Amino acid sequence: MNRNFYFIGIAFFGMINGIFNQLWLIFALLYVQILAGPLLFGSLSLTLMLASLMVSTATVILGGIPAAIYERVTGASESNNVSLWIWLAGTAILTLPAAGNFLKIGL
Amino acid sequence: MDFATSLAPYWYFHLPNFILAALMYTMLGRVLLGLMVDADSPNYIWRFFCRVTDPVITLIAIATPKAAPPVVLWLFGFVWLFWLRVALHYTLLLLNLAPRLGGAAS
Repeated sequence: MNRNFYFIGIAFFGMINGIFNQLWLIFALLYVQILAGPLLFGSLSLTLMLASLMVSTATVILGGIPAAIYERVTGASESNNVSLWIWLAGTAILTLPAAGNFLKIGL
Repeated sequence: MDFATSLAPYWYFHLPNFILAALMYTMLGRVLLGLMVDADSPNYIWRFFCRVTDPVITLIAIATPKAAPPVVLWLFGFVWLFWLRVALHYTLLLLNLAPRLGGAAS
């Protein structure tokens, strides 16, 4: 499979979790308001967008950890299909809590 | 308790939080400057950004698949540092050792 499809899938799952995971989004929103509120001119919309971006990226990062471990263990010099599958699956599993909201509301 | 008076009693929060914040924004600066300068540029600001953030990038690269290009690693670094700051505050909050919401530095 073309590598780009893995990246699109990983980004898609990250985006879904960032938008629809109520628990993490609200948690991130509270902290973004404290840690970066003044930088965003106190705008709630911008704060919400950054919070969503933080959750999305954290999903992608955490999903990538098992893939990185796999690459280190096997001594691969580059990412291969297996590690990209692990990354995709890891991100998909982390997105499960948001799947209900996504299916109910949709994009 | 205002921010100034909260600095001394909560130094164990403010000091690491300040260092993490400085690293976080330097990482963002590296991403933005990376749009304009080459990776091996002799520009002193670029070299400073690289020198400060390289140790963090090395650590993050261990936990990131090799398919991620350098600029993605820098952005991941920004997000890692953000969540580290959150984890620091939240852990101290659970231990009832953290300053309350108004006391956190931006």
